[in-house]
Amino acid sequence: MPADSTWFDAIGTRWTISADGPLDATTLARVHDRIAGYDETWSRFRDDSLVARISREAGTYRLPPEGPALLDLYDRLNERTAGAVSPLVGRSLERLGYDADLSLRPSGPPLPAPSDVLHLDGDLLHVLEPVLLDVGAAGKGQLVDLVGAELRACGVDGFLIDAGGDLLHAGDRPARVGLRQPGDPSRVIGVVELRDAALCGSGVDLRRWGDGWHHVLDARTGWPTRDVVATWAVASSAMVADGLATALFFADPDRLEAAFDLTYVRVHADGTVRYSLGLPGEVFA
Amino acid sequence: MTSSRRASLALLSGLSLATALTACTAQADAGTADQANDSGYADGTYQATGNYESPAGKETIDVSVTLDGGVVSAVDVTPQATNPTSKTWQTAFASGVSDEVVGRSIDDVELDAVSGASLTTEGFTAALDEIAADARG
Repeated sequence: MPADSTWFDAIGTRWTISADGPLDATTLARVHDRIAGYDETWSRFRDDSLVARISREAGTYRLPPEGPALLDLYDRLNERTAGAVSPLVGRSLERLGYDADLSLRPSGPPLPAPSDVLHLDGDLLHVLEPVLLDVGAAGKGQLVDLVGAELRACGVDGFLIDAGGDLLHAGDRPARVGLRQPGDPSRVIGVVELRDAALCGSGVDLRRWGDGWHHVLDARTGWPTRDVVATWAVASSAMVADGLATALFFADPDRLEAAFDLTYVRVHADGTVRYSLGLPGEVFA
Repeated sequence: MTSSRRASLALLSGLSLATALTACTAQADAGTADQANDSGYADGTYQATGNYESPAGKETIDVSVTLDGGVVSAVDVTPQATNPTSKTWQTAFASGVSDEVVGRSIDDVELDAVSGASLTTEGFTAALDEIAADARG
């Protein structure tokens, strides 16, 4: 059993950190600073963030150290999903009511994401026209990785970080993670044995509003996707696992496997399930 | 890992294709085969590396099959292809498909954590409640 654990709410989700060793005040202060710093840069819900500035004005912006890796991943996912995954779905999410005030009231039809407006050059981001970034597909995963790095820097080598179902594990004792059944939070459809890896899931049965709206949008149209209802991806980092969980809504898993080292589970709207037999665990099929 | 019978069967059809591909130059060797049984196949883990000509050139694939009581209990396909298209086809052998899953109660499974659709945050629930209140007018 873990020697220490803690939980808190941040960036709109519940975090639980379990560690093999003590989680002292200094370590936790670094964790909270890391989360606050990330939110200050990438939040779409505050008007002083880098994302907010980019939404108001075109120009050249210097990214924080984690920025290039995040946007590079989005580029790769965009290519693998033929344009469906993009960090530029922000405006459509906002229009559908998933806005800073959480109005959940659509103010117009969905909008396709713009393309060819961002150019990354080292840590400089050239923004050709004001755009609303939404890094919801991979940002939370990246933050989980960054929190993991803080733990390691503080000498905590065995841990399980759980940020609302996005998980990063390190250490010798694997964690058993249940895959929540879409539509029934009291059941699981499988178990993954997670060891020195990340598992992220995405689903559209919770956080729904209005006339069937949800937060996983196809950037090509701005419309919520319909064919897939839940996905999970296991990868070496939470950022990649998180991004792949979204990409699995849009791309054939084989296409993702050709470019990324992943295992996955995907539940379709008709109830069928497809999964990697290499999954470190079991699907109750 | 454990895989369902359905998944194993799905895999076997993929495997026969892999075998067909590898037939010309496969170098198969039985690994840890021991016990015999009614199936005529000894239990154990079998590994084979196959080579074949694809439109993009020569490719290689590694396949490992575990037999337990004459039944395939695990199949592991390790794509070795260098060409992306070939790699895509090779990895396709390694997926399972199920018409339905039978969820188990969280209380019946020993778990350290659960992952799924992000739990509805308080803010989100509050916003929905507000809309509902407005709608009742």
